[in-house]
Amino acid sequence: MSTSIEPQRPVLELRDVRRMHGTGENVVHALRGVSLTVLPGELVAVMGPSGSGKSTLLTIAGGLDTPSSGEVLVEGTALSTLSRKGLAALRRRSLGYVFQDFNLIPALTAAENVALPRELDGARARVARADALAALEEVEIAELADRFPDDMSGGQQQRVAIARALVGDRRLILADEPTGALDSETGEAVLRLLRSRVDAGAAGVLVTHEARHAAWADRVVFLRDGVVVDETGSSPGADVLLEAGR
Amino acid sequence: MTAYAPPPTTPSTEAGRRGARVGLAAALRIARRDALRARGRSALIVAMVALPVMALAFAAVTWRTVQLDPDEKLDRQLGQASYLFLSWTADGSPVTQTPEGQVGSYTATRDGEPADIGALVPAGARTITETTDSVTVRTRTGIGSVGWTETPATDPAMAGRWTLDSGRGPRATDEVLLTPKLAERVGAQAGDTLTVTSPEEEFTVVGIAHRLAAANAQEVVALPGALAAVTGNESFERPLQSLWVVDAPITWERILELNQLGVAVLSREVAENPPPRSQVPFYADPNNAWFDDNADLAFTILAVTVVVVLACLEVVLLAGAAFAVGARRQARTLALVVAVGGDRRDARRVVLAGGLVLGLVAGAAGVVVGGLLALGAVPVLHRFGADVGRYDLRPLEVLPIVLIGVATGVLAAVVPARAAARQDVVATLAGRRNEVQARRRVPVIGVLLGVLGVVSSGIGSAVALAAADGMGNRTAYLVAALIAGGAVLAILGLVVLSPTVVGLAGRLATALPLSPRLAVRDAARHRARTAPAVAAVLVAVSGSVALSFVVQSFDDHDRRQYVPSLPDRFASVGLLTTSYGQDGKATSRLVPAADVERVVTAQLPVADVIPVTVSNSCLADSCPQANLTTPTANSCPTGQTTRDAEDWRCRDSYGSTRYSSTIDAVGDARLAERFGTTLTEEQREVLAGGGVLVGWRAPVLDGRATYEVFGPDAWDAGPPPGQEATWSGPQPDERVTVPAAWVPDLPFTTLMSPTTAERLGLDPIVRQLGLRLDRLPTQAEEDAAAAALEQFGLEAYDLAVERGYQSTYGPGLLALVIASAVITLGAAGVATGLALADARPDHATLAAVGAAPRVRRRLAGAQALTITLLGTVLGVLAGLVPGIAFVRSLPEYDLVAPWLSLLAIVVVVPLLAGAVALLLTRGRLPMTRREAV
Repeated sequence: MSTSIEPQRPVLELRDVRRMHGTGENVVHALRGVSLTVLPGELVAVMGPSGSGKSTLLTIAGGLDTPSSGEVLVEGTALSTLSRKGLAALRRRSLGYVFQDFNLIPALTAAENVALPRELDGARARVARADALAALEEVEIAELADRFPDDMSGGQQQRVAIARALVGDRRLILADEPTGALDSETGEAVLRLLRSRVDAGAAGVLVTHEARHAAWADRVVFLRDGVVVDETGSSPGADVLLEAGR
Repeated sequence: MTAYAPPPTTPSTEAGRRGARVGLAAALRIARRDALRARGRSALIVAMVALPVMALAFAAVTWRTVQLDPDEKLDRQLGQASYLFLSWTADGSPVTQTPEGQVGSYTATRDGEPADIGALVPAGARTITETTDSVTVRTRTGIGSVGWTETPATDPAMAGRWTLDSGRGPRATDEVLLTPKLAERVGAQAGDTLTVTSPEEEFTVVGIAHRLAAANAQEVVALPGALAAVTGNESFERPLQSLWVVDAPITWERILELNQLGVAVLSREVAENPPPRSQVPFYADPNNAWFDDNADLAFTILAVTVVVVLACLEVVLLAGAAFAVGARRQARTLALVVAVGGDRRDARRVVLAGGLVLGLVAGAAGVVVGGLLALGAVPVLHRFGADVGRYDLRPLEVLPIVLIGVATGVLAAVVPARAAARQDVVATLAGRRNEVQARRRVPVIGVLLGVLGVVSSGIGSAVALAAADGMGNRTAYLVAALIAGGAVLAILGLVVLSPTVVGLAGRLATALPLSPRLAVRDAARHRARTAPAVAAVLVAVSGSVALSFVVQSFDDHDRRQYVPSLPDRFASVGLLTTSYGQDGKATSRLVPAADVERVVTAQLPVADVIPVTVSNSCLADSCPQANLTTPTANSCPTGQTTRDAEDWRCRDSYGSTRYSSTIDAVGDARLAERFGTTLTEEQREVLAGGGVLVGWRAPVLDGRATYEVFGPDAWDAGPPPGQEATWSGPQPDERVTVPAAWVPDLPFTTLMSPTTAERLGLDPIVRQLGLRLDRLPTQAEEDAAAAALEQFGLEAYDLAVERGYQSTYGPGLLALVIASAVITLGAAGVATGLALADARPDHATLAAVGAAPRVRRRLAGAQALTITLLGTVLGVLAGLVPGIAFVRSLPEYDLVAPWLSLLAIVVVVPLLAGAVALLLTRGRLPMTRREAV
């Protein structure tokens, strides 16, 4: 679906990322050398059974977790070079998460939830709110701006979460089972929204275990036991190489 | 027809009953195991509940121990003697008494002779006497006046009254015992010599002994007649004070006979086996009605109840927050209980059982620790000289205290238990966020309680004011009950309202920056945990605020009532010293002013030394006197039953000047000026023209005042025979009227010119040095100066430094603020910790959207600030009610707000709580997103 022709700088790049939990006999290999590149305007679906490392991949991609070895680059910046503060700033400015259970802060209104990354980034409250309203406009729920999460349906909450992931000029959405807590119709609507945001220029990684959701993606990466075992779809750039697990 | 038979018990009912029993056992088992598993939390709750229980138990046992049992009281008064002649009236008027030795009121007739006690002792009975006097002895640091008791203290019949600590009893008249405190002061042990300086004699110390009833007394104990025998001077024979009869029982009938002679008797036998009340005339006499009044007891019960209720409320609220944490942690267990077939009641029962288990442990532990502390306090009380009886722990009295602990534990668990029962089982088992929304209710009960409290306190205040002039005991207690009851109601009302207030605060948070906005909204969402913490702060603060109002108003009252002895930053040294010769006669002499001046200028920051000539003293035994009279026009109008507070003539009494030193100074205008008082031209003229300046208003009428002049011997003659009761003093030798002016800020009682003093026949002497100081001396400087003055025979009180009003309430106010601050910080800590634990998912979200780690700290700080601020503001409101009502009920006190305390409580403490939470919270956000199912 992507129309990009000339090589572009990847928004997200994972190079031979490994992640181990525990030590000695108890060591668990969540990821065993995964490489992945996501370009602007590209939506990549990551599929795999439970425990295959999908969610670990996403937390590492957003700097919430650090790889045991390998390198993660977001818009060309290696995360390993960033301090904890720098990582937080990156999450505020460069990427947005969307979770299965929305993870909206119940004590904040929809607009306040969306404005949160901007406010945390030091934007004035009015500017942050204007940005938030614009983001809510894009996800077509501007009229719910002053409602609290508890007073919204699941689909509405997930739209707010997507708006929060996109507020400002962030270009990477990391979505972890965003439809898991929604009925199928609402889930489809949310995925359509995600697709449209990616088509508008963002990059997206969609973790899912449902094949029909993966159909919205440009590419699908299969993980099993921390290893990429298969990938489908076109690869728009020559520099995208998926290494099979060793 | 078959006989009617009751239907068999339906199996379902029986099973249900068994089910309930099993349920309770299971709940208790779960609660017990859970308490053991979460040891830290259990310990916290136990400590919180045990603390007031411990305090109560300590107070109860200590009170019982300090209260002497009847036999302990008898030992202290009687020793092993059969009976004691307690008292005898000076004129032989009959008295009434209780079998326990309480002597009733009686009317003196003034025309009889006291009973001859010696003649009342049964023939052949052994007696023991005691007389008391005082002597001056040489101490480690100087000399001091101490008690002199003559009694055979080591006689076996006095065992229980006197205790020999070391050495032996005196065998000769020059041997003495010392009480421990005196031995310490003198620095003497058995074998040492005690030097008595007045009269001058030396005695050998043969032992140390103390009287249980007065362990702190500083006494020399000698054999009867010792002082007279050693000095050979019979004037040291003192009148008999107490007489015990040994081994000769006495009957109640005989005591009643003795009462008719004005003699009261305490007998062990009668006290232990009292006659029926009908045989005790004491109880029939209406003048003795005060003795039976139970109002005191009622008042004590009221005060104790208010304190216990508020303390338990405080604990219920604080521990309630801790139980809420526990219930939240237990949520999964509770959901499982429901999932395996229990109902919501069972879930509630598990949490309540936790309260029961922990309350029981806390109650028992509190009583044990309190009882042990009381045991440990006995020797401490002894050291401070308190007369303490046997350690007295009564199981029947401490059992209710244990029950208070249990009740507190269960009550603290009630609200969390109900919340736990309401939780969404499926959501909890699924591990999803499961928040029970607080229901919005109109807080009718809270408003009603608050209004009732204010009205009750107001009525109490009004009753007190209406009865201001003659408030009987019962009215006073009614007022106290109304105000204290009103206070409790108002506090309870605000406690009930606190969830509503927290909810309101949540709605007003929109305009706040992110962290406080999140904190306030979060607090409002989780009212079940926020409200108890806010209420706990409220209760603590309200008590502090109420007491602070009272203390500040008392301080203000004392400040207004304070009468300085001299103008600010002045000091004075008296030059007159009195010593007693061997004949016991007093001799006065003047210390040379130059000597004193040399000493004080060396020791104190003196700017000016002002010799003050004084007319109202002389060195002879008795001096001529000149007293100012108050003209009728300046007297308080007679016939008024209540004194008119607005009328200065009723307010001022003789010599009620601005300064308290009573000096009739002799000098010119310059003398007043050196003390900082500038006189007007008119006043100077009065003084120069042979007049007198007066420090109070009453003597001066139309620019003149009248003296009544008495010769030195005028008072010696005493009243003429038959006029003893009505005699008000001798007739003056003459009346002298002189020009006079009222000078309100005169630093003396009066200031007269030397010619006036001469005209009045007075003999002025320089009796005092006034000192103008550059600055206030330190206490050390003042002590050093006083010590240096001792070489001239001057006493410490001869040096007076005017330091202005020194408030003694400061530490009390500070303690109140600290007490409320400690509880406030504790409540804020518990609630903030709970909020942080609850908000973990939110923190994960914040991390995911890029919040810096410090955001968590800021949130914690804002949480603590929110809770404490809401609590302290409500607490101040609640504290205003009893504080204002109480001060308003005392007509002589003005209501003064303790602004500094209020500022500290409402501003400083919340900021402190916020800062502490900010600093103690880990600045790390959870870096992994929460588990999804």
